Amino acid sequence: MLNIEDLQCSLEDGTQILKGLSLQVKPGETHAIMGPNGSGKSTLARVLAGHPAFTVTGGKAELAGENLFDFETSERANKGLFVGFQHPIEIPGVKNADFIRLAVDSKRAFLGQEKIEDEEFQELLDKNLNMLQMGKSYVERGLNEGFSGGEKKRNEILQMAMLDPKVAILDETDSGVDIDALRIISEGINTLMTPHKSIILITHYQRLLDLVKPDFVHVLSQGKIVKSGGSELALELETKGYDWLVK
Amino acid sequence: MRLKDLTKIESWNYVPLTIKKTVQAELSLKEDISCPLIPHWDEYWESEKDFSALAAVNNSSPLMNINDELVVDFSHKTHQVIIAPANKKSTLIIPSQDAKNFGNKRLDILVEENSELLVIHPSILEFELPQLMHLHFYVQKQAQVEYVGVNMGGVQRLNLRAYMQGENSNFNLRHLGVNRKTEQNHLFVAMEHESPRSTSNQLIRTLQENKSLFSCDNIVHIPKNITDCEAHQTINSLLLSGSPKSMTKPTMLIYNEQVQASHGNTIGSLDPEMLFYLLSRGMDLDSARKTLMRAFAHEVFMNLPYHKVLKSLETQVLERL
Ligand SMILES: Nc1ncnc2c1ncn2[C@@H]1O[C@H](COP(=O)(O)OP(=O)(O)O)[C@@H](O)[C@H]1O
Ligand SMILES: [Mg+2]
Repeated sequence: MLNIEDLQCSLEDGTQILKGLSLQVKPGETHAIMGPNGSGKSTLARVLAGHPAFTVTGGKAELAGENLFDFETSERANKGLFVGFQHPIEIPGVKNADFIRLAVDSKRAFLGQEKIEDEEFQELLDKNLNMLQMGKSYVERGLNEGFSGGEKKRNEILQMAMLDPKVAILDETDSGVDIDALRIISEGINTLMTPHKSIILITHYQRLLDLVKPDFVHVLSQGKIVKSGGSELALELETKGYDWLVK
Repeated sequence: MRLKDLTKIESWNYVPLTIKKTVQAELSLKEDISCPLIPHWDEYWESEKDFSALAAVNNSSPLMNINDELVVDFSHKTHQVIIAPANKKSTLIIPSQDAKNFGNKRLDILVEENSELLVIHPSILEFELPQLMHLHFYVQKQAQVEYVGVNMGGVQRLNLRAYMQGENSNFNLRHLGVNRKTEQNHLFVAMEHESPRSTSNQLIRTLQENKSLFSCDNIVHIPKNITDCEAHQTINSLLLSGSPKSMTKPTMLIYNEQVQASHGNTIGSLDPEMLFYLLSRGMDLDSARKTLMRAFAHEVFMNLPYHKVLKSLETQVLERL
């Protein structure tokens, strides 16, 4: 589903961040990416989404067999890539519900479908708000405006639920989230997961991986995956830390 | 307040007062900005003086009370004196003054005690012939003014002065400017706090493209003996494409310590992180840009009293972005 080979990318000033990263994610699989701060986890998510701060200097990334880097950011999204950001930005003046609807309609337009009907949109939105135990007020407010850290993360999952992506990369969706919210978010992720979809969880904490079981765990250090294993690797990291891998 | 005071001509002279003491430390004054010029300004300068004097003396309307709502009609009188009656809510609508010749209009508005006045002032112009508008507000005790103005297109200048003459008077100014091509939008605002506990708020936003020009010369004046006032001023210019110019000169003349004042001034383009966020959700670049432009403009209209003209003005403006 997502096939990354020897991916390298740099910042505008030439600083290389990803230094030959490879990762294969098949449909139905859940992968966890862990690793020290600054190792390039968020960069991986953002470069795949097409963030303008990064230039791909080598390697490739394919989504369902197509070269991701042939497409603009919006096309990648419409083809089924979703990134739940570590720090979702606030956009005051854009009503959350309007934003979500624009996103849904963009995807439908891309797929040659009609715009979503009011009723259908409302039903879908209500269903997902319910699933994430979010009050209606969240979608009436400005996009992420004044949302707490945890609320922003929940709003990312809401968008994911509404957009129904093929591959979702969730960057520290569990950071800054209390235990109850984490459980709700995890249940949401599990509900959305089907054998045709893949999820990559970027996380520091076992507590998320207890709730969303990964098939594979990878450790990213200095722009490369330095160790891969099953879910037991996360437990090992929990006790041993990263030092033994990083050195 | 007598009518005579209202119609008295003030000196048409914008030489900035000297700043004795500014309370706000972070004023970002752009010193080298000269008084913004409308093309052939010098020619107009003289004529404006005469024209306006004439207007005031010979062409004034009789006193006009707003009866709930008044739509200003300048076709016969270019200078009018309007009263928002005490203890009442009223609405004043000042329609666009588009014309194929130079225009200069003036309104003196007495906002009586304890009244609430909503002013809706769209100035959406096609022709690039200078249109000047002078709005002078005399705000009495406990009176509140919500002013919402939109300047779009043309070459226009708005001179808005609010004299907060009564205690606890309040003036809330919202201005949205949209300028493309070679259009010009010039704004002179003076908030004169003449009574204690008066408050003024300014939110001024402009979107600009191409070779358009925006200038904004804003003064908040709080004299020494006028205490417990509050004055806030925010000017945000969004430069979209081409080489538009935005010149802002915010000035706070505050001569006492017992005030709450703030000032913020930004000039920039669309936030690339915001754009990226929208794009990453599947929106194409064009709609993402439009969404951000509309959000920027929409904030000018937020938390205002409901009025159908205001609502439709907002819709009309946002659709044109
Ligand atoms: N836009 C950027 N500008 C400058 N440096 C950046 C930028 N994005 C990432 N970096 C740098 O790249 C490295 C990896 O960052 P990041 O991917 O956010 O790490 P992680 O998510 O693993 O904590 C860090 O050293 C970070 O400072
Ligand atoms: Mg990160």
